[in-house]
Amino acid sequence: MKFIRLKTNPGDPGAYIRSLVRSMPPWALLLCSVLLIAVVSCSAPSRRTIAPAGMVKGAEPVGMETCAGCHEEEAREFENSSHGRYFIPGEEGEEVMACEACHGQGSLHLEVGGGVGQYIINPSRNPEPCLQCHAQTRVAFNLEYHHPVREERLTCTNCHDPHGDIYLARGMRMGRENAVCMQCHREQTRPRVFVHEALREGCTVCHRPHGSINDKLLKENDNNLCLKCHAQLSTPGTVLIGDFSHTTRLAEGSCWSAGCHTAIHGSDINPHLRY
Amino acid sequence: MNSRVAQAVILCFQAWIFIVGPALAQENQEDPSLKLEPAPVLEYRTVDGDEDKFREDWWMREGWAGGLERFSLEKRTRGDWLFQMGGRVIVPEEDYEFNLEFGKEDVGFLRTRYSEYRKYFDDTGGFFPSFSPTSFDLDRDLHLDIGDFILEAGMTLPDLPRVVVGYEHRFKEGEKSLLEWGGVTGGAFTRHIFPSFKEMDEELDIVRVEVSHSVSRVNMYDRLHYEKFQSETRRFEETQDLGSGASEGVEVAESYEHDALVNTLHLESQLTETVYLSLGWLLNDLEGEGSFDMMTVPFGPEPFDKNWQADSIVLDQESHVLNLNARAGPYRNVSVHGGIQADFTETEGETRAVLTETLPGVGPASPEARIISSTDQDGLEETLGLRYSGIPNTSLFAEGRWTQKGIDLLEREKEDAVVAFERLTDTEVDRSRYTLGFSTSPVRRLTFSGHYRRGTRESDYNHILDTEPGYSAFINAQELRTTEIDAKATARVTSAVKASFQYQFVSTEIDTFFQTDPPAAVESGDYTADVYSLSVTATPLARLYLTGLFSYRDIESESFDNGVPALGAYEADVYTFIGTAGWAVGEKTDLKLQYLYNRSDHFTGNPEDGLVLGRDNVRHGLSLDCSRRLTEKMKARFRYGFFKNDERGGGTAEDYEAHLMVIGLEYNF
Repeated sequence: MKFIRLKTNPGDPGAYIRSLVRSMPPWALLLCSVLLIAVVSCSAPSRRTIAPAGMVKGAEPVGMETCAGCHEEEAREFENSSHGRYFIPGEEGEEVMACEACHGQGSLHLEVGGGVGQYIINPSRNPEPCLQCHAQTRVAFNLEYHHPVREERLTCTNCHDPHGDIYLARGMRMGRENAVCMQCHREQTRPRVFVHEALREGCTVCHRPHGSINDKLLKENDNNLCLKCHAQLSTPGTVLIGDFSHTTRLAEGSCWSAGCHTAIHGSDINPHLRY
Repeated sequence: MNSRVAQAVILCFQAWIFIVGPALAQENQEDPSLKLEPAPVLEYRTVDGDEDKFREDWWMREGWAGGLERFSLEKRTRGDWLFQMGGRVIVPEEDYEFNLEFGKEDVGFLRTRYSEYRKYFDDTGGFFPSFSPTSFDLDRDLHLDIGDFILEAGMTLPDLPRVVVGYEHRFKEGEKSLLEWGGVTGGAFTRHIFPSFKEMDEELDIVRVEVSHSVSRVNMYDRLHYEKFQSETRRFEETQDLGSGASEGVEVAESYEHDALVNTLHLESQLTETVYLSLGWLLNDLEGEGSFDMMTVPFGPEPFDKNWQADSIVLDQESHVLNLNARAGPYRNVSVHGGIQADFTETEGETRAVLTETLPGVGPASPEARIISSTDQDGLEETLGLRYSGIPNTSLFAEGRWTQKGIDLLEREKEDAVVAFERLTDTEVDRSRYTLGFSTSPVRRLTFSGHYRRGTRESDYNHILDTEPGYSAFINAQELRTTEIDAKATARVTSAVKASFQYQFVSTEIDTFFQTDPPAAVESGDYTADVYSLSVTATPLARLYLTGLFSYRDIESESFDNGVPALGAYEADVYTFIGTAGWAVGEKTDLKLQYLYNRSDHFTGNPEDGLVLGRDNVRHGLSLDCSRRLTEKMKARFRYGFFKNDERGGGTAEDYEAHLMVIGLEYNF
């Protein structure tokens, strides 16, 4: 263990403090500052309360049946949803996966007679309630490449319907393949003369929609992404794809980053999706 | 938005703050129905290192920025009409939002919205340690301005159909980075690491009419949507020879536009207390046309240099989707749901092109090509599910989903009226997916939930005709198996502490069958991911909350490498910590601390045999917000942020350290 030798000078007690501060790593300085403020704060009487995002300050739970009294349609939709499967009835706010899990405790909303934004959380404007449970999705939105939910440009409800089936394009709701991604990515999902078959299976075959450590939200940034499907048996030491040896080409770059199959979503001119 | 428009917008908002704001504030003292809340802000960011990477990572650029972080105005008029206005203006970030709504419950509304934001892209390509320099950048400020304008009016009179008529204009304009990197040759190596980019100008105009009405127990919803999409893109790729200094560029310009009509009809009814039924139909009719122009500069005698031009590309697509869903609760605590969805899509494409290309030993040739494709795709999907909640504090569910799909594909290219290739393939796809799940709370304050999912996909390709040997008819069939496990435990340890632990496992195996004699197969893909996360929320004091989330992902993906050293498994370890602390320091002061740590280790250093892909980087993001109420109606805010990217694997070209300082005010007149 490394010990820090601090300067001591009986004639200048401040030198000890200065030396101590200079020898501390930044995180320790920050922690000490926070603790100092805590001591000062706790010695000052205050009746204020503070709540993490996703909770209504000072409100109490009222239960799903109370919510359903006014929000009949939403309650009916909820029963058809993926969220609804996890609902466990309970007493006095001890329900699991009920309305208040996402919208915050409802007592103050009830007291003022309801209304848009009246002591109620709207996850379509603030994704925090969704991310409280979907911790992995929160992590994904904080990876290097991500859809801009953290930046408040999108929210969960741009792609998901929390009351209905979880994907807008499926189940009780309806749409075409890749309809959710198509809302913003028309150029990638538009019809082409030659279409990459993976697109017929859905964008998520290659992309991680919430976030990824790879650029363009790719699942993998190397040839593994393509060769999982585009494999062909050949003599050991060679990679044959479509009866054509790709052995030396694969050393130069991945299938798309090597500048070959650049029209990866589809091409209007080349069946090998090359341009 | 161009700079003149931006300046005009800024002037308008400045006028609004300094002239209209105080005037309305004066009025507000006499009028409690008026709420006015502007929040001006000034920011400064300084970056030491790769500024482009900082912009891409944190969606902001270095230097000064400022404007109104938020503003809102709300006024309730006589007759209970509500007028609301709000938004955001940050320059020079091109970050704008403007909302306006005027309406009355049970009468109608008029809404409009304009929003725009900027997405930045790093302009660095790949990395190769044997080259000097080891990486290249374009020295371009790559960014896209993305935005929309919406205007809609609705009628919400009681007992009459609800009608909403709307117009939307969406756009994307600017330049973005691409992953199609140009080749760089140095010594014995050629590696594709030279960055490339795409200019794009996309516009989408939508006119829509939505009608919804309830008659007796039946709810009806119809949405008619007409759209015109226009896109102009231009891709630039460059190759470099480090020895001779020679370079070659390829520019691909594409234009495309389509008109599409989409109608969605949805009927639903809660027939009885226990039976719910819904029916839907979707029609999509699209007609598109475009052009393609590829130029190689300089176009030389090298083989495969291409100047391809297609002045006529025609695309037609028609889709129908029909579905029927039902849910019934015939017995207490038992709910059954089922659905069936049929879809049919017909797509026709035709391209007429001149394909000028330098052929080895022949020289340039310019055949006239006519390329056609025709795809008929039909599918049927059935869903059956069961939910049981008869066990106290427990919910159990199971669901099966089966899909059958058929695709008839014809592709043909004629060059100078001679068939260059022709392919006729019938594909059959069978998919199944089974899910079993539960949610239980055996004791108060403790909840367990989870699901197990198993999916399969079997694709059979019947290549009736393929004149081009090998591609793509070499695959006869493919089988995919996916297993997914998700388990979560949540404990409210005390009234002030809540903790949850989650584990996810995903595994995918793919077997590919080839057209050989005798037929052969290999396991072509194997993907496994284990994901662990632990989150804790604590409110030890009424004035303090702490949240922490730690996550670890272990990802491994392998494909059939056949002993080729250029190929290797993709392995990634990703560690993430996100922490937040909020604190009401006193009657007037709040503090909020946020910290993000992210380490992504997926470095594969294989320079002799292949590319150096992946990276091992650590990112830190720290912010400290301090807000203090100055008067009853005014709050001041200060924020400091620190951001760092530290690459430990593939070079240091994208490293940076950045600081952010924000001062702001919030008025509440």
